[in-house]
Amino acid sequence: MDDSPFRRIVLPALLAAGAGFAGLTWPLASDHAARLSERLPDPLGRWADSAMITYQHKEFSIRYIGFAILSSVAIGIGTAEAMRSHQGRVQRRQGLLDQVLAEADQDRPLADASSLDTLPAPGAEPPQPHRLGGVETDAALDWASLLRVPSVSDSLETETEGGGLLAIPIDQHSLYHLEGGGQNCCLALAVEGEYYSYYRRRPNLDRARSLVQHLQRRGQQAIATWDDSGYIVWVYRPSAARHATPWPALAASN
Amino acid sequence: MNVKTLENLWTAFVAGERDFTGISLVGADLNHWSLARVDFWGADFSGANLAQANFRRANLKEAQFKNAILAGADLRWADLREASLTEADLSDARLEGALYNAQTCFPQGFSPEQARMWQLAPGAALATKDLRDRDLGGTDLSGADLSGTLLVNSQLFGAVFRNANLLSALLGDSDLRYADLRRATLMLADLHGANLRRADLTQANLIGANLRGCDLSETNLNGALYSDTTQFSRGFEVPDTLYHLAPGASLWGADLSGARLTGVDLSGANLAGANLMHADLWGACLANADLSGANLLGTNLLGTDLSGANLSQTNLMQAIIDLPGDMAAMVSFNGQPA
Repeated sequence: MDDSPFRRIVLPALLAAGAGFAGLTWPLASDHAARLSERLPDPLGRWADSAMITYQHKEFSIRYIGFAILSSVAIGIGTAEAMRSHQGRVQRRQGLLDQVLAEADQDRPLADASSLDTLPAPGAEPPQPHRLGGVETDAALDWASLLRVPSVSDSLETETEGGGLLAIPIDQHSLYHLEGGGQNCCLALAVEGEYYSYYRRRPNLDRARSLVQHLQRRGQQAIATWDDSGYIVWVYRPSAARHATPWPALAASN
Repeated sequence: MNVKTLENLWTAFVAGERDFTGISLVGADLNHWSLARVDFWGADFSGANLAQANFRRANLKEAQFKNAILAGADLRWADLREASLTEADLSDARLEGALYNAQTCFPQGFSPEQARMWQLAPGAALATKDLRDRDLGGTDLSGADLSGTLLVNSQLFGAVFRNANLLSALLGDSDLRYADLRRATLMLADLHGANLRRADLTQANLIGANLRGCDLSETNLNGALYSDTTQFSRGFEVPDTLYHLAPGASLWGADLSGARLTGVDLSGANLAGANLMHADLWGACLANADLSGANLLGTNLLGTDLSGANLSQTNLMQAIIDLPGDMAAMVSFNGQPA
């Protein structure tokens, strides 16, 4: 309903036409209209006068109402056209952006096309959750399931419906600090004994999805988690020669 | 790179889009384009003509500039961490304040220090620098000097500030979730409205810090230091795992090693058996304090008021000290050279 043509185009046009008609026929119904018509310059004042005194200018009043009807129809059509044009501009802008990003993706050769996860077919079984440190998560590479999550709130709903965990909230993961190996210290996520270091926070699912796909095309394995303020993208880091220190049990500290 | 892509990029840019993460602009002609503050994280500008282009404060992290022409380009305060500028033409490019790290690849013979770029690395000297509105999530700045640095509204998720000096730093409204602030000096820092959820502030120095409006849920504050001038959010109950530094405070056996306690008033405090190893007590007041059995190994005691302090069995090995004559005699009596 929110994005329907009725709400975006027809309804505003009807409202504008109705307002126009009411405005034009107001002099016929109002007591104060006569006083106002006296102040109007000719021929507008005479015209308004004749429209109000219906017993003297019956023919003219009928013509005036006809004019009001036609004007309100014109207002309605004009409004509908303006709304349609605006809607077209918005859609065109979105299309251009999608095209830019799609072309940008096409310009690069895929590092490993087989590694890309695909959207599961409608009605397919949800991915089976895996065990992670006693907490159920859906996969080491949970992008396939993440694709099925339209938003944070939806993923929460799906989780509570018991249809299998989708995008996993960060709080449920095991966090570590990776140190040593001649590299900087970094925050990492442990998934089935493998470490994924923090890469970037993304504000919404589309941005997170684009980034994960971009990283996968570069040959980097990536996963995404969500929290209350968006999505976090993590990239696989070989843990060889690096020391992993568990993130402190924060909940117990306070 | 075809012309149509460039036209579409321009149309999207004019329409207000600023996030072009991972876009491929290979061979594009962006000569004189104004792309300030645009997000080009991981973009490919190989062979592109970017002469005189404006990339001020743009996010160019991990961007590729192989054989790109950046002559006369404005890259001031741009984020060039992990960017590949090898074989790029940087002649007359302005790079003051641009960020780089050890993974940034520069053309041969190029000196980022001479170009006055700022390196983001552990131990970096970034005092009073403007790093606001930046995405610095996950960056390791342990031990860095960030005193007086402007970090307002910055993305610092999972950043490492262990032992960093954030004295008087401005961190208002920044995202510090999961940040490692262990032993960091946040003395007089402004953290108003910052999100510190699940951050680790173990033994952090919060003396005089403004923490009003901060999200401190599940924040690790064990052993953190605070004083009467520290401002917490209304209704926040200070856990008793924090050390309250005040005259006459009971800090028996407290671990204050490495803490910056310059100018702190701890007169009459009980610091018996406390660990003040390598702490900085410059100008602090320890008059009449009980320091018996305390460990002051390598502690900076320059200008510290130790009048009337109990220094029996105090370890003052390698302490930097300017005790008056009578106090020096006491140290000598303890057989521990200053």
